[in-house]
Amino acid sequence: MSGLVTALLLTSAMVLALSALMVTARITRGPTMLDRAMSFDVLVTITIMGIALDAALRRDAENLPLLLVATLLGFVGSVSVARFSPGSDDLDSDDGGEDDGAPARAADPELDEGSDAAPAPDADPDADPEADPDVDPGPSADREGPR
Amino acid sequence: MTWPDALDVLGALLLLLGSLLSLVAAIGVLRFPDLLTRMHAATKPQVLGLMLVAAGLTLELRDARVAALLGLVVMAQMVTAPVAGHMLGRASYRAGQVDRDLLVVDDLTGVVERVDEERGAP
Amino acid sequence: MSPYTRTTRRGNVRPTRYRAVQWPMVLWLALLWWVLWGSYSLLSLVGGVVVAVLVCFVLPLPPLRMSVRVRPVAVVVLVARFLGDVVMASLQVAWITVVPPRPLRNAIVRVPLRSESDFVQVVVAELLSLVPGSVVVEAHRASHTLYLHVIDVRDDRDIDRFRERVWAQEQRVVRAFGAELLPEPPAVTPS
Repeated sequence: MSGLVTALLLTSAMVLALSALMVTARITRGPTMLDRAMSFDVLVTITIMGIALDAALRRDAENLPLLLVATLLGFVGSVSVARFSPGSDDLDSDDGGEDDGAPARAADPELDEGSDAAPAPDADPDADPEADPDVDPGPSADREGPR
Repeated sequence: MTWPDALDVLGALLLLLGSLLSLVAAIGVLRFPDLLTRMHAATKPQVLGLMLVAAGLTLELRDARVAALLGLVVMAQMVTAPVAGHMLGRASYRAGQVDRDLLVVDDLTGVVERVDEERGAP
Repeated sequence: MSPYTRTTRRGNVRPTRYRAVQWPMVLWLALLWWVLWGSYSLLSLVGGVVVAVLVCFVLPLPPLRMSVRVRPVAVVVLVARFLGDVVMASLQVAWITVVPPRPLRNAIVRVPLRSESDFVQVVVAELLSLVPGSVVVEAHRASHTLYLHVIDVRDDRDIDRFRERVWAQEQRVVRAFGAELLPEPPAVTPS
């Protein structure tokens, strides 16, 4: 009977290895940073399943706190990537210039309330006085995520 | 076939099911065309897959401490996964990475600029 | 972080740190400590309470102001329905993944929620994100509107059906946690 259980668990291990491989392929291909962050999150979940599988195979629970750590690691990882990607305009405009033009897109509440249309990033150079003058904001349509 | 044996087999089956879900998710992550679509595939192992694996492992080890810890892991994942997914999806949409040809309806065009509001605690 | 401030009688403004120790938070942290410690002894519980109070003092958070009324039966209905939804939607998305319909079309759907509560909006958004097949792309707090990305949408009928599902979900959440119930229960579509 335990032979059947072991066989099932080893099959699951192989399935997990295959899916980890496929997710790694997506991480390699990207194309954007956000794709990689998302795939990394999936990879972390697969790792969690792997650790759980290992615990089931060895009948040994001492590695299980790792699962909690891995969960939080995946969360912090993808949130920080999303937070600092140019698409997220949650950034305060004072730390602008670092990331190309994203703060210009951020509608300051005091700047935006009066006018009905938010200023286009390239049409209104005054929108972000802190931006580096030598960084060309560029039309946002052409902008892609960091590669 | 005794009770512990049956529980062992059931637990192993649940673990296999969770792994298969993650395989399907990996296929989706690999083949779907854009980030938001891939994210739908990714949600699956993070929620149902993890629940199945936790249930399976609990059946295998049959220990109250393990059950409590795994419940905590599932709960942490269920609280954090939507936040991470929302932030990634939102950043992706705002960076213009959404493939509009794939959308039947996009209620959000032109809204993004207006939808901004004051952030922070009230 | 913007901590709550208070004005003392002398006119000084200072953060409300005295309210940092919130009992639900302490209870939760102590429980966490207890579970992670692994040996369920009284000593580890006491240690957990001490650490939790310390954490609350060192890292104070503003208290949440929300009016929540828990109705146990409705919570059970909500959870059972949610688990069923997760299983169904997982199978559905798995099927779409293995045999993708061509062309695979999606939609970003605007769903104005009917409840006025922030808490309800957060719970609805969380639950919808956890069910495969919908991702919250944008959430507008002032008007309690969610913008969701939905997979495999063919026509307007699918979109309407999805909106109905969201509103039904909201109804269940309000029944489980809402301080006040929605005015007219089944009136989903203003015709």
